[in-house]
Amino acid sequence: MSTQSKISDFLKDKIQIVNIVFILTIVLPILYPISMPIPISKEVRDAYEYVDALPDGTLAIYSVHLSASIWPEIGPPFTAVLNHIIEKDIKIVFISDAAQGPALIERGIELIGGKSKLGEYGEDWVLLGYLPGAFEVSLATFMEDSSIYSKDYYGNLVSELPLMSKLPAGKDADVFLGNVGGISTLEPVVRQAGPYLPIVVCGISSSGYSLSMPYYEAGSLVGVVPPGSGGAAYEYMSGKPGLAMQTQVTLSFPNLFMVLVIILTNMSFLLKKVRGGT
Amino acid sequence: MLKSRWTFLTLTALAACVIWGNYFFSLWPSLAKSLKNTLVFAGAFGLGVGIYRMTRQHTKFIQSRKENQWIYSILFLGTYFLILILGLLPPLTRNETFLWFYYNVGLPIDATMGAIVAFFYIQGAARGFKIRSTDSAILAVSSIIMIMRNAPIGAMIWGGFPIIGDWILSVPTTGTFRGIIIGTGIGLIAMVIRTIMGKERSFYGRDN
Repeated sequence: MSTQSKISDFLKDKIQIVNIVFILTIVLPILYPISMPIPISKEVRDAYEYVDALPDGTLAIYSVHLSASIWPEIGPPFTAVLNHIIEKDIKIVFISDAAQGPALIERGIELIGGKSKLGEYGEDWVLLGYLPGAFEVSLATFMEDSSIYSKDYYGNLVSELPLMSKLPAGKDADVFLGNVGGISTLEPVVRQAGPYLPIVVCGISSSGYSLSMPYYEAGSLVGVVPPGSGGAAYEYMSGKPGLAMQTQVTLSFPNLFMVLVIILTNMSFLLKKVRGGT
Repeated sequence: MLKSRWTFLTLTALAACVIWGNYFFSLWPSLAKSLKNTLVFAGAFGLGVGIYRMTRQHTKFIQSRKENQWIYSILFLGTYFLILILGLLPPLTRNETFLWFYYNVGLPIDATMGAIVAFFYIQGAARGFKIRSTDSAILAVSSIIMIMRNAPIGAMIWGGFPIIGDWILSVPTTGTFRGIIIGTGIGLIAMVIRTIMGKERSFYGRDN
């Protein structure tokens, strides 16, 4: 079979043409970037203003649910908020409910300029790591007693870290920053940390974003930074362009193409119905 | 005695009483803490059971030379134990070779699997997103508005997309999910009460 006939057979299925155009809508804006206005929604503005108003010396728990598959969604908002926090003297205790979380937290820290940007380890920041088991239970226990972590991610005894002496229980922190995957990780955060600390969702997957709105509207969440344009909006407000602003343009054209596909599919369907087809 | 239904029910009821007593009345704090820590150990133990089962299953495929499977089982077990051994070398899970494999092989593969979903979305939209009724019309229109609300280009095309999109998120979505969350919570309470009373038997392997 000649190459030409293989190509023509391939393109007979219209879905393949759709897939090719879809790939082009992703690749071309990356190769030829276009600047676009960034919409700033209320929940992102609330998240930014709250973090911006945190006084020096604030002790924050940063719960990070990151895995490789959702890094493209949640990674940019994570680095955006981290880039904002390093301007201020905020002490951070990182915890994770995903096995890949600690490694990806380190990756995010490298992307903002390295561990030195966070200050001195043990004094200004601590990476406690991941605990297996149900996140709801481990977070509930951590909020009551932080000694559930006996060692940090680097093998240091938690009892020997000066910052952890200020955090005998999670509820002794000043704010809870949550980088959550979806509703299954958001709800434990709201239930277990919500009674004690204000919660800012510094990144959530697109599937969890709409599900977080009831909690935001009810005041259980101070602010929410959604994926995509949310991270870009946060970077814009903090004046530190990064991953999110770089990737937010690539969202526009695939989304526009999807809308066009829906409209064209329905126009074709309607025309067939009018003409009496199936 | 260990397989007896009453053993499971008694242990479940005792554990529930300890946790509830600690939460509502601050009773037995050290016992409650131990119970919660036990769940962390159980999670780690479950991981070990999973490793054993996966190894046994794929070893059977290799031994029986199962068609279209046994070569992939060799590849799977080889990769599995290579990463496991690398992760166990000191410093645990921070070995340089392990991290190299994670950042340069595992992470791109995992992200690619997530990205492939986008093609399923576009094909679903092309094949199946057809308006056949009023409900599907409302779904299609609100989906289009939300897609354009989230994309920066939406605000450039029409300023109404962010406004209507925000309303859809704040009002109907929030109201609907509040109802679902309340319903789920009530269902969860009912399930817990059924479990404590012994009426829910699925968790110890018997049908209701």
